[in-house]
Amino acid sequence: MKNRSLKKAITLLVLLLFSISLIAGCGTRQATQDDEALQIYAAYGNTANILEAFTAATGIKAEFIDMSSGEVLSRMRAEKGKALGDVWFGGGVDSFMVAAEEDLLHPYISPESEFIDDRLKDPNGYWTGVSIVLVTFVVNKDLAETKGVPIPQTWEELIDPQYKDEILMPNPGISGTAFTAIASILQRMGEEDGWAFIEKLDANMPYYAERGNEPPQKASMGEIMIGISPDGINSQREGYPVEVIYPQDGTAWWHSPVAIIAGTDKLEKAQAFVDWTLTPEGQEILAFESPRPAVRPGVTVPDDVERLENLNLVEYDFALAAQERDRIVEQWNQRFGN
Amino acid sequence: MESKIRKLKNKVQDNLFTGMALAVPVIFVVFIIYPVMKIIGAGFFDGTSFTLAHATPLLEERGIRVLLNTARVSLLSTVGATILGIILAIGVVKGRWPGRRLFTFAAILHIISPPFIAAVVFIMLFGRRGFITHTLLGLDTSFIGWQAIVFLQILGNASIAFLVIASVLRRIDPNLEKSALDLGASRLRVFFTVTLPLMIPGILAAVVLVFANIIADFGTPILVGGGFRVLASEAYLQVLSLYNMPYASVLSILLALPCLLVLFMEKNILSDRNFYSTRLTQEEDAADQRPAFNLITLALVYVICIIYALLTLTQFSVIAIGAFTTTWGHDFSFSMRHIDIVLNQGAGSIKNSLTFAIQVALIGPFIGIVAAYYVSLKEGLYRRTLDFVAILPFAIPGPVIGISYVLAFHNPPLILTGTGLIIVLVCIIRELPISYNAGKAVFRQVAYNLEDASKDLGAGRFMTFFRVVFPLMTPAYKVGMLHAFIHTMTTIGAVIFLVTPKNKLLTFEIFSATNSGYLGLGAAFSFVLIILTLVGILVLSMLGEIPGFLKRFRKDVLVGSKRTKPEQEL
Repeated sequence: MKNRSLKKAITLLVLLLFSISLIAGCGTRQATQDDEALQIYAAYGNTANILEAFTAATGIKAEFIDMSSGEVLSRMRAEKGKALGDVWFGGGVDSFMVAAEEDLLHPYISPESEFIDDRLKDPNGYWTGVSIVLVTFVVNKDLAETKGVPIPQTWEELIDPQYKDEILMPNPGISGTAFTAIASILQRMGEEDGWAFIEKLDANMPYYAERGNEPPQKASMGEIMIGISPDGINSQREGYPVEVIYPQDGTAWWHSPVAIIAGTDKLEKAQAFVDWTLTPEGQEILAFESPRPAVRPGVTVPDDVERLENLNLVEYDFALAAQERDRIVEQWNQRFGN
Repeated sequence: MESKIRKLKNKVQDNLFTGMALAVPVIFVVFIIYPVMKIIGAGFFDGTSFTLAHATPLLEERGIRVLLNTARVSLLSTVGATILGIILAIGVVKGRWPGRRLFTFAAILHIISPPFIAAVVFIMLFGRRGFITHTLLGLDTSFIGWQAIVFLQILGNASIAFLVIASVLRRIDPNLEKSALDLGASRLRVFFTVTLPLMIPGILAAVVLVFANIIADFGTPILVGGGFRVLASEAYLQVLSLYNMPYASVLSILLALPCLLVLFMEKNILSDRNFYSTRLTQEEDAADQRPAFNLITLALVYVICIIYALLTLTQFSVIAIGAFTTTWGHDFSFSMRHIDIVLNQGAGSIKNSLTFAIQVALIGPFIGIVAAYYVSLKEGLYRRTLDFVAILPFAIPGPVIGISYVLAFHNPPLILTGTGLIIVLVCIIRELPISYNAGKAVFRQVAYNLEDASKDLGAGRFMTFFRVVFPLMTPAYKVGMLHAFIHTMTTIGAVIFLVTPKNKLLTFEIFSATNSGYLGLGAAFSFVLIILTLVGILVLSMLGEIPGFLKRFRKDVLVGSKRTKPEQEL
């Protein structure tokens, strides 16, 4: 008898464990449906702190996940018809352009966007730029000192043989930073000279990184001397011995936008978020948490963010670059791909 | 009256068992075959017509290079990791050195540090400014290239091989070896003619596991490969950067082929031989103190074990240092700033990771073992098909299975995207082959006549399963449960497309922190993840002891009372 009740006990235990986990599973699901927090796909820096400030200012709860622009785009395409995210915050403007073309975005012209330069926003309101991203050299000072080489200040200096195997850039097919850098060189120098220059640059690269964040990371850890990346200030703030160089012969740049994802069921909250990121307060917090120049004039930015007027920004035709993207990447891959 | 109730109960139990038997094929079809069909559809079909257009890039020079790279790295790493796993297993199971039980724990510690953090740690140790290579030895080396991939793969996967092989090795009857020794065979001869053959099911299971794991891993090649491309990283990047699902699907299908080949090899080798061992208990046989090998071999094995344990310890220490210092690898002053962020902003992720991991750990192995048992009862083509399907999730790289789940479960009839359930499901399916294989490996060693005996004595199928088969499966369940828990805690590839802001996971936090250059924060998240995983493993291990405890309890307390009234049981 006892033996049988023991058997029962085991069976019961198994069933109990099952039901617990099932109930727990349903609980999670229930919460997803009830909770009204804004769901944000972010390709930005320090989004957690930015959203805390947003919630404090507006009372709207928001949750986010970090992804690269490519990931966001892949996801939105896979989720087409039933969006799981409400807002796409930050990333490469070319990805936003593609998304707008594929009807993945919900147009919205924020009342705040009248203060933003026309070049930095989509005329139909599919996306609005929130900050300027600058393509810089992230240079490990210790390594440069040990090797006894000067810290390069221009693209032209980068092709010097003394930097052989010391420069890391991502594959432009993968990274918006690298693509903007390459396309800027081509627009600045013209096709023929541009490709010739890229070829010389290629001679100094040991390989091409497969993630946009590998170059600044490797430069921080002293694995490589120079990383091409917009994120050097973060590494600097973290305490790594890196210097951020804005190339004097042409600093490539783009604007990192915000957009509402088509099919959202929290349109008003999503619009509130877009509005907030463009207000002076929002702009200030954005510039502070993720150290980049603001798009709205007259906003106070932290000291370690370079003033745009001090920089030699490349005259960059975004529409042209977007048109030519496939050709450029293809041509690059043929000649330099890993 | 009594017999009527018993009949009814048997009937209920039989129906329950039939239910489980039905559930297995249904789960296979809905959560494995259906998403896989979606991938194949994407890779080789334009609408409804078959096409090979998406496969042509592979025939170009770059495609061929990727194939060769994949072959080189995966073969070398698999051989290395398996051999290291065998050595570690022998050292721990056959050795008598102090602290060898702790070693199992060290091996687990090794698996649970997330791959991208392991790569960062090893760059800090062996890289150009690495602590060991540069600061201590003054070298100017670089921890980049295919050798670095192989090194990390061997280290990481040896733990997996070790766990699988050790669990099989523990069940080998030492009397067989003892007899051989008594009959005058040399130790070496005993090892190669008795021990090693008995280990083969475990070794092969480990090879399948490790090989599939390595060939599907995209993180390590991307992090330390330095532009060295393999199929998995290529597929990942195709999905990520280009959303080229057709080409990525072709690559995934290609990744599946060698895995299937290894699988068939495993089967064919095993089908020719019988692996019998009638030993059912795991009780240590303390009487025999004779070492299994001569001293030099043993010393070598121990040295390897110790180096491995040291590496593990170093890896963990470096992560711990990173979590509690101002700037990881640069400024070593004590700081709680990273941990503070983890405990505040990361609280939701911690909760999600734990919840999902516990669910997967409890349900996953159950399904895997039930499936293994169910499949073992079947014959012929049906059995081979089920067997193939159960292992299939191995062969599909994480991100691709993630995307396939989005494609399969985003629209009616079954909408699961955006829920936590889909994450749990994808982890269960990803872990299915492990508990399934572990179950199968144990099955092979156990004589089937035990089960027949139970049936002959009048036990129902359900009762036989729970009373005879399931207890035998305890080691497999333990392996499966631990793996399921660890995998869910540390996985990123499979869930990267399924995670929503609501369902953020710890690995995701590590990934994005490290990705954005907040290495210290990444280390802090990893530290918390490792600690939580360790605690989870401890708790689950205790759960795994329950059947053994119940058995002893029954033996000690109940057998006596049974003897007094034997007719009641009959």
